[in-house]
Amino acid sequence: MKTRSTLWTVLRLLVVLLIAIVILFPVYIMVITSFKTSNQAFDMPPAFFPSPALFNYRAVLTELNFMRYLYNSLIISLGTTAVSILVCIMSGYALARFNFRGANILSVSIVLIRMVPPVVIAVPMYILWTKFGLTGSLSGMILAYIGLTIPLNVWMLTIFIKEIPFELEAAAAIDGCGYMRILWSIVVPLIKPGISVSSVFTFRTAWNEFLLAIILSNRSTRTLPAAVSLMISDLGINWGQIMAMATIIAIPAFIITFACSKNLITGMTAGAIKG
Amino acid sequence: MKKSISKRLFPYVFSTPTIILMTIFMGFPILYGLILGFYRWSLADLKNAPVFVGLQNFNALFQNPQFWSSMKTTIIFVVSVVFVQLFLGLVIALLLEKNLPGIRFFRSIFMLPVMISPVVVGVIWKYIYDANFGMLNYLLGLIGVPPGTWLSNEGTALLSVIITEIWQWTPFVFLILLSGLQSVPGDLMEAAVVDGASYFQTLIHVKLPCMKNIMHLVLTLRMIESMRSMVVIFIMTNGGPGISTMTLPMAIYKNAFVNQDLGSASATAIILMILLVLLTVFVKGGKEEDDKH
Amino acid sequence: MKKMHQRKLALGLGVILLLGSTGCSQQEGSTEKTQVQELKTEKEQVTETITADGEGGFDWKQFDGSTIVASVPNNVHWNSVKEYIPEFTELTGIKVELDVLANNNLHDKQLLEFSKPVSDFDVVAYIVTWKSEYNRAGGLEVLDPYFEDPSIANPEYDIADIAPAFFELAGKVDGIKDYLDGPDAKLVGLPFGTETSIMAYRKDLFEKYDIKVPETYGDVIEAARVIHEKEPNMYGLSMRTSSGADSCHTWFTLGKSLGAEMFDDNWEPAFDNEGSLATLDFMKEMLVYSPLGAESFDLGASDNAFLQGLTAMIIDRDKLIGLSRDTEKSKVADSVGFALQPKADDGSLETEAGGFAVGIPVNSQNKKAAFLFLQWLTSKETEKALALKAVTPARISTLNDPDVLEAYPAFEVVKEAVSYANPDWRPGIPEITKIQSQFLGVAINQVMTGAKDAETAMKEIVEPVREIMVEGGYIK
Repeated sequence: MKTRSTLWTVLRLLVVLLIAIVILFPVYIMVITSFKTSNQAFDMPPAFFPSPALFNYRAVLTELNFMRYLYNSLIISLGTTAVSILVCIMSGYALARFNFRGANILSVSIVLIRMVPPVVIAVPMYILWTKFGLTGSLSGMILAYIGLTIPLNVWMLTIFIKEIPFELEAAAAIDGCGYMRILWSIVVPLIKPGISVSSVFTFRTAWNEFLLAIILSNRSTRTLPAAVSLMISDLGINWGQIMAMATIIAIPAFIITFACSKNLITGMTAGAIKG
Repeated sequence: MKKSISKRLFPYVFSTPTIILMTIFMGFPILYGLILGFYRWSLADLKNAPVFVGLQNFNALFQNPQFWSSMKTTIIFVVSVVFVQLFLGLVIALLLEKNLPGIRFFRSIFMLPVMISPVVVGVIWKYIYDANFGMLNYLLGLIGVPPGTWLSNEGTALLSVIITEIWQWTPFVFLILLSGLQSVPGDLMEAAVVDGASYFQTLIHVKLPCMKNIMHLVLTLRMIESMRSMVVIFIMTNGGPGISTMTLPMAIYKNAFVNQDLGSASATAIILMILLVLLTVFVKGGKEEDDKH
Repeated sequence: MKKMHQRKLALGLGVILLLGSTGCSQQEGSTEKTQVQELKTEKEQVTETITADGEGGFDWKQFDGSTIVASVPNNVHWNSVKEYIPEFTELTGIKVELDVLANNNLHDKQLLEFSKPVSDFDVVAYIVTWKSEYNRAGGLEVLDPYFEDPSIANPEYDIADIAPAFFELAGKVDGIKDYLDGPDAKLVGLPFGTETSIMAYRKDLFEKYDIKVPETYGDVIEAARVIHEKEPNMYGLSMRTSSGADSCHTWFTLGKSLGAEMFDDNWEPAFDNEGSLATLDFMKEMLVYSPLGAESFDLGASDNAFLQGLTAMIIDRDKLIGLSRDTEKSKVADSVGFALQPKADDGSLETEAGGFAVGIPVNSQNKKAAFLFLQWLTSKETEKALALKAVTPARISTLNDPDVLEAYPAFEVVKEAVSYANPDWRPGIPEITKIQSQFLGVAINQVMTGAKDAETAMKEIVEPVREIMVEGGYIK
């Protein structure tokens, strides 16, 4: 019996390993290709262990306005996340714990808005943003992304808030605590995993978004994903450089994932259960 | 009295920022975008006002065989992607349910694909799928499988795109389903074992019903997201070969930006949304009562 | 009394002199500094000739201090000219900022900018097929008056030196067709990045198997067959076949000589004419000797197949000359020969007339400064510098320049190809993007992948395209 169970464990470990390889393989290819020239990228058989050469990174970092794009992406993503989460905690609490007129309409419209493909609002946004004078400005991008991320955040945070035992809040209310205090002192600390999850996903949306980034930005407010399309020229795609750029863009994603992984997964677990 | 008023006002006050931001920065563009479905307007013609054409755009769409082809492609795409992700995710979750050493480290890895920008995902897989210089055909060659045409052939392009989408999201689905599995109340499981239930009986009668909410959550989430998915296909095939990977979101993009037909693009979007709403309603289960102040 | 008179006279003369000398310069959009004529004359450039009249003379420095923004693609021409732009800034004092975007996004962004009251861009680089669409949107500034204005027209520009095919292709609108020259034609752009088609082939393989350079389509088929059969892992002709503009490009390049046409003289779709079907047959036959996936090769894959040593021939744009010599991208740098593309059996030949041009948006605020930039960009000196880096020129003098021909003998082929280039190579109507992307490009690709046979595929798109032409007012 014992050997059977060890065998079973080993087998399962192998499965996990296999899946991990399948997941990581494309990522690995991205990184090793970033070390190659175009010619090397097309060598057959391909070199699986090239020596790390940084010329593509140098090219990407110096020839383009790279630092500018990085800066823009950071500001936009952080700004979006901060405001979006804050605002959604507030309305999430309202929706989770209060019956009020319009609550249903709000919930329904949030769900509906989430269904709209970004491509539909691209041109209307451009026209409206031009009228407001928001094109070519970082705040314009932030506002657009806030709008984009609010639906998912409200939905998620509402769920997380509902997850908390109501008794805590009921007790505080009876004791005479104002709802503000209840929210910030009791509820928020308890939904930290939820805030984690929502923040990571908001950051991810803002950081990786492509279509609106191209339409609403100009050369000084362009973000990193939009810059990837610049690698496509009339001579085809420069694979080495595009992979270098892709790796750079993916790095914050990796960092955040590993840093927050414990929190993230607890958060997803908790949210998933009550959801 | 005071408490009552503040209790009434509170939700409104707290929802206001959200409502304002959402209405102005999403609501207006969306309404604008959808209403354009009843007008004719073009990118090259933005200085002039849109022309009202009633249902003409919809008429033209319904008579266009390419539109129906897009519908079909989209449904195939969404159904395959969602079904496989759920199925695979569940199977893997069941396999790895009991605690494995080192599982925590692997969990972070499983989060990775979702965190990568769709642009990057498209670029990497385009490279992998290259018929003559791509990794995939090379690896297949090593184990004696003949190389495939992947993105170059109508028969295989949609499949290739589906595989990429599955690669990106299955790990994430697995993580959520795993959490769900691990939160099945232990006493229910014990009771089933004591009653002599087989593995599959416990699976069907205990585990799955407890995961109903989660499955529903994941199903809805993935359905909506894969219906909107455009960037990956755009980078990898741009809707081709032929129109074999032209899903509805791709068609919307092409209509708006290539065909200079904003009206037709918006009309397609309206149809897409109606489809989504129908699907969501269809999938929705019952909802429990929540605790409220 | 007399003294007063004299003083008044002196004053009067002084005023007139002052007025006369400040009247020359026209400052448009120069927001940074106010110019005083005396200061400017001190800075006059020695290299450019200035008319001695004083009034209305051409001056490179007249917009000193302005900044212009150019919306450009990521292509060879602009990437190569980047390093020379500081020279322009030194010559004129005008700073140039480049806003680089990939082709698709470039088009969309430029169109969106046309609709604003004031454009972000002062110069737009556009693919020549967009010319008509931009013109209809009222986006491009008419340049004829600029050339006739001696204060901003460089007397050394020599506009007649520009290859007529490219000149007409790049900038003429409202002539006999929307996009051609004619009695009422206007000029809205200048060629920069124009291209024509040539054939590149593997000299080494042709020598090895004693194959002569193909001159007819039959020769090409034969060469492909021989090489594919005899040389291991080697294929015939690289072609662009993927759905959309790419497959249309090949259809035009190979087909015009065979008589393939999008429309007949009455704008009726002619996709199913003999020439078109013959072209598709030829392409299908070449696919037999083509590598895996060749039925949907896009530009990159088609180029790559040749550059990585998989195919023996390629008939495509002249940028291949520079590209094939780039040791980072090409594995065949030393073994490539260039020749004119094959002629039809009856001797007819039509080469590509395509590529990029530059123009000025109507709603720019620095149009005249931008005009100076355009002249510099397309000048003999700049072109020659670029040609020496294998960037194809648009001027006849550059194509005949001994230095250039010594550095790149292949440009002889380009020169010959240009003489066969037809500005009406591809209909430059605004509807073309839609027709290529949704109908013709799709149909050609479907024929290549075998999803449909040539005749059916072509016949099927006649009706929908005809509807587009009726709607556009081409067919009454």
